[in-house]
Amino acid sequence: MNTNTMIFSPSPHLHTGRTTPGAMRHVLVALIPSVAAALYFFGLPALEVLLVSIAACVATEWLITRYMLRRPSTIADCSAVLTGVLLALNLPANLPLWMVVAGSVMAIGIAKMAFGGLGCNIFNPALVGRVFLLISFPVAMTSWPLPSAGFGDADGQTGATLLSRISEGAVDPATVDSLQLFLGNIGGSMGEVSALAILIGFVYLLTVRVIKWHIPVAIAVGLVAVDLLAGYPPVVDLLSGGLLLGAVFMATDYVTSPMTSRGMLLYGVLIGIITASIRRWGAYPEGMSFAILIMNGATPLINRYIRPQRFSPRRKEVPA
Amino acid sequence: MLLFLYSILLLAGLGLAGALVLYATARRFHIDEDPRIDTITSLLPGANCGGCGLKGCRDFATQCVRQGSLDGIHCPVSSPAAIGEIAKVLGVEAVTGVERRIAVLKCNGTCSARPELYTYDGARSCAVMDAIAVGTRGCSYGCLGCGDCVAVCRFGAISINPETMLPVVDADKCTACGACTAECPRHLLELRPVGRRDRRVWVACSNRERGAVARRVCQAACIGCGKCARECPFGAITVADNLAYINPDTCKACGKCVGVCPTGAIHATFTIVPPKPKAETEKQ
Amino acid sequence: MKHTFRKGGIHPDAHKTASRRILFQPLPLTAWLPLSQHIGAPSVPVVKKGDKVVRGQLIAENSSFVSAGLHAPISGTVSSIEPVVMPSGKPAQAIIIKASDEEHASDEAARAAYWDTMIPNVTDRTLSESLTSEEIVKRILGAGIVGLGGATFPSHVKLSLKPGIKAEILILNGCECEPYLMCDDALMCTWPARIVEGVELMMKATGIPKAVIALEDNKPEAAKALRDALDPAYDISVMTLRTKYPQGGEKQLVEAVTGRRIASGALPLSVGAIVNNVATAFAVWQAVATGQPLIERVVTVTGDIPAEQQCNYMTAIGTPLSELPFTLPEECRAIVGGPMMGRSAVRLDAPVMKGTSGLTLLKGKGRRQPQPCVRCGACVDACPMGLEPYLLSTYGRLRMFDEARQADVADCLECGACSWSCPSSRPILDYIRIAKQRSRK
Repeated sequence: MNTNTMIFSPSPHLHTGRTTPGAMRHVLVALIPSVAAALYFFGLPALEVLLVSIAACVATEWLITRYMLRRPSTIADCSAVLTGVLLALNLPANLPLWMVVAGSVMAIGIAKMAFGGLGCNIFNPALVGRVFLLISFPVAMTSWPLPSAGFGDADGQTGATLLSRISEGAVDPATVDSLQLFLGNIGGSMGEVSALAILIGFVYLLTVRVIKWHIPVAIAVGLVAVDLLAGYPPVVDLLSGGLLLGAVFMATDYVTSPMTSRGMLLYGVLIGIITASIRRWGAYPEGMSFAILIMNGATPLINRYIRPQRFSPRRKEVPA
Repeated sequence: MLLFLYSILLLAGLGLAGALVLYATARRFHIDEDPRIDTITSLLPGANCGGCGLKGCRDFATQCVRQGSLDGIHCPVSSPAAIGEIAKVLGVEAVTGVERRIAVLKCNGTCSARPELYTYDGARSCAVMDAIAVGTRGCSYGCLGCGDCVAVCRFGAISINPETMLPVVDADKCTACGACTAECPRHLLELRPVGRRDRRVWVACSNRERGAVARRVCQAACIGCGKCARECPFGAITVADNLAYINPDTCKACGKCVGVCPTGAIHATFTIVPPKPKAETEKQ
Repeated sequence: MKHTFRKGGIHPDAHKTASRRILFQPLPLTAWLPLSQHIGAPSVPVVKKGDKVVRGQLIAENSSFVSAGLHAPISGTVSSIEPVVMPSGKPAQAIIIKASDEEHASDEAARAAYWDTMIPNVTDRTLSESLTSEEIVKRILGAGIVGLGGATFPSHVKLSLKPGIKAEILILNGCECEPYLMCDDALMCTWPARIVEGVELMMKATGIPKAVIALEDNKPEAAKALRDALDPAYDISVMTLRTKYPQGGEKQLVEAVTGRRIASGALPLSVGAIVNNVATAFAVWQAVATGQPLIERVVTVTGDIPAEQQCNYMTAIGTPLSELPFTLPEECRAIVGGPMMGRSAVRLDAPVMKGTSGLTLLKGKGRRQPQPCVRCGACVDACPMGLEPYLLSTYGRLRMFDEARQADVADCLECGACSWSCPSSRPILDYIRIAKQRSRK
């Protein structure tokens, strides 16, 4: 017997075969319908924003690992690509490209790598990038090209989002056509426009078991509850703005969301309540990004206090 | 103008209110503490290594102030001068005669003495590896080479020699805090007195198998032949369970045993003059 | 809806590809018998170097109540009592018996005759029905029987209830939730009636009126065979559970069968249950009805080896693993037991022991490079004890053993569901094990 070939390792000796990059790739696949919808409604500018965002995110991560941390590159884990896509989908298609680059550098450089890279960040990088742009360039970030179906170039027309028009009192939410909202023929950032595309992605993620249903459903519950109290049509609220995109793709980010199912439910419900509160009573017409970031900050606390239920209660300690 | 005044007053009022709360809390929760605790803490190394057996440097300081002496507690990391300072603060005589010790490795299983037999695929930790199997080199007593001792050393005194894959203790940095001796799953590190003029002799093996079995896994193993014990003029060496042990208290570091060991398992910190007829005897 | 345990659990690929046949592995010419093949105090040799022993003779006896005797699996001469190498490569004190060719031949003949009389499935209860419960426990004790599922807890201890303590249900563990392993399945398919008789003896020994043989729904043949062998005179039922790992864990199994949860640190008896492996029931029947002590057991040889070699072998305790018929793959991991909880072997010139349920040979390294934890919570979802494996693992790595104890690390059953499910391939259980060991002190 040749002992040279024996390998020994601690149990378990089997592994599921699932990997973190694999999960990232599943999310990217789930984003295909949303990306397709963005390209369909906004045309070439959307593609430009998307490609610039991805390239800037990946380049930022590569440069930081190569020249600042001097560690092996981590871009192969696909997380930078995913951040790039998510950031792009949170931006208006006509945003100047240099702003896209600034947002990407902020997202990867400050929100992710400064905290120590994948797994160590407290806040969702793509959302930090978006909120940074939203606060720094509010005008550019809130005037959206009107969607023009059929891959046509956006005709340069811009307008405020539905939510801001509602909050200004220009539109009565009760008169909004929910079907159009659902399909996406309404102005908004690239990824927000089509609820249908996002829901297809959601179903896909559930099928491949990359995410659990808890967070998105809890967000919807929290939002609808506040809407019912405030007497606002919940369907419009659910389908408009970045709610669905945030609920399915941003709030479910592994790193910045709680680990237990009960923690996820609490986290989701609070995101829903905060979002609805900001929309109804706050200064911003859109509150999803802020709500998620606030709850990202609360996630360590949730993990600390909402522990999984033990198999069985601890037996009374016998004093030694 | 009124607006300005209003804001300034409001902010000042808020600040004042906050300060009052802080003041009240500080008063309410103030604990009178012997100032010597702070003084002694500042004299201690501050590494919180646990070498004294207490939870950290402040714990050590609290303990000596509470008992008013250094009896029974000792900081192995502090220099004798620092211990003297602490004793002065306490108003007692400094404990003298505590000899400085350093850690030595009781394994000599270099890559050439015991080649790698198996491949390990798991968390890089000696404790993990020791819990499941004999180790990559087939010796169930020897060093596993994953560097748990390196990881626990707070003074950066241990490093793995890439050639032998064994840990090396830097005598200048080792403070004998004992973290490594407690961590090593095979108890291969021992704290031994530095010795006069830095001369130390120890058995660099822990294998308790019979000689033939020990030799099969490692060429540098102690085979328990007892030659060293017979050679030692001071009776400092005993052989038990096929393993020699040099008592540091009676060893005079003459180095005679080093030359007679057939496997080279006895190590010394100085070069040995080959045992010529009537080798020079280390005078006491 | 079939029953199973509620919390956590995983579904690894079963790989139950080995044949369900049980072949007879020839007796070895040299048998190595470590004195500590069970949980508890090591047994004490009652033979010395040079003694002649016959197959089935007691060679080492219990040194305390929680201990088990050891019997000679072959006839021969005690050549020495010295440390032998274990599969882990570490030495352990053992009795070594060497057989001459004549002794070997007569042993083989006696063994063949024994199994021939046993194999025709005729139920004869005249002997067992005449025995009292003390007599049954005494025979189990005398046969050196330990739990054969892998835990190797001495069976007589489990089956001697303290006066005043009443158990309500005897659970027979036939789950074999480990992937690859087939030894219990094979035993249940081959000698179902003998297992049922063993269960009846255990019921009689403990005075428990009700028994449930629990197995997973991936073993329909075994379930059918057992159901056909049941005797209506006894309240024994066969329960099929929904397949989920680690169903064979004692606490998980008791919950799956009875719906009751055992408190942390408590025994199944606290909820009125006693759990034994089906292979133990078979050994109990052998000991009580035929008088043969525990000197052989079924061992599955499986893994990445040719299909015709994946089989179960009735193997004498003390047989070197390397004598089992298999071709060792290049660059392989040899695992004694199943791949989830089994232990790596570096030496195959080590003996089969009472707890050796199988030898799983897997090709290549099993682990990927660990990536940073992304806090996905997969380990938390997988943990059948409701612990936080990611946290316990970090405590173990950073040597925060007090914190680990407070986070209930002692509840961990080391099933490996956390490491299995980690998408970042982190060695979660490796460090939890350290935390568990060191926080106990």
